[in-house]
Amino acid sequence: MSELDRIIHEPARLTIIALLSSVKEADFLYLLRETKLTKGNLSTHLMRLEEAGYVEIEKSFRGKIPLTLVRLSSEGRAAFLSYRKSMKDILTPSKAPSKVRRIPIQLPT
Amino acid sequence: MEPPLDVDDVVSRVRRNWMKDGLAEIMLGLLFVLMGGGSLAKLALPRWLSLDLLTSALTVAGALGLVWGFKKAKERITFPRCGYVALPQPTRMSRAAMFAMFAAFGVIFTLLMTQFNRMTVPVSALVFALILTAPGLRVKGLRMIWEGVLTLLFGAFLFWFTDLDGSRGLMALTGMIGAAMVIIGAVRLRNFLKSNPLAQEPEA
Repeated sequence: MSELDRIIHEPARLTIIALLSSVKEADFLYLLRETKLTKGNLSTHLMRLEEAGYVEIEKSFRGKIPLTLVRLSSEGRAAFLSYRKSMKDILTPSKAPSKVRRIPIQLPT
Repeated sequence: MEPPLDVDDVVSRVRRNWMKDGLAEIMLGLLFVLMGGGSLAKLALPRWLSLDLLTSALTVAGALGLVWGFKKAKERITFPRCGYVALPQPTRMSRAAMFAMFAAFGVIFTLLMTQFNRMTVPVSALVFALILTAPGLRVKGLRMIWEGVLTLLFGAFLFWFTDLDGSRGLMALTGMIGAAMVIIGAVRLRNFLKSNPLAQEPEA
């Protein structure tokens, strides 16, 4: 069995990564609404992902409003693809030929 | 081992939610109305004026204006309520595929209007229904599938209950689809504004 990436495997972080994998970038409010996490929780998970190098966080201002943009890094994308492959391998039943020996039997006539 | 969540559903949810504000429908509907209006202008104007090029240019300019308006509306209406999100740019391959698809549709429509006048409306309805339904199936968007069905019904109505064919039939069809989509989009937008009041604290 291939090893699963524990950073991504956590459901909240997996949701964040899955969301970011299908967009170019998103802001904090978008992720907050889509993940339904609390602000503190989302911040913590984003920090964890940033430490792992999976996401890039850019803090700026739009007018006077602070804006936090988050995007998936190339390492994060590779890790996510690898995680999905591992998960698929685990969940898909093996297609290897059965090793059960077939013994021909003769029924009494 | 159980998967912690349905990743495919999360990915398709992003695309579905992109259209939940109804703005995409309003824009697409206006685009259809514009196409119908452009054709109507061509038919209505006297031949000696020869304004084909001008009406085509105005239609293209209108379409570009609609795309610009859509982006502005997203910035003013959707992003302050639901947060900013940018979808990835289409790849070169998908742009080429889209161009090829539109070129094929152009050939089909021209062929229909010049050779098979009576079949213009039903075939066009089928093509438009496919355009609406295919992305709906991909992102599991039931609304888009219904819009495809509605398009087929419009096509069937025009084919069996009116004598409109060729360019006039196509014009009526695009007008009907456009009007229906604008109405659906407007209702969606109203519901979206009701259920998503402006966020007081946009940032953490």
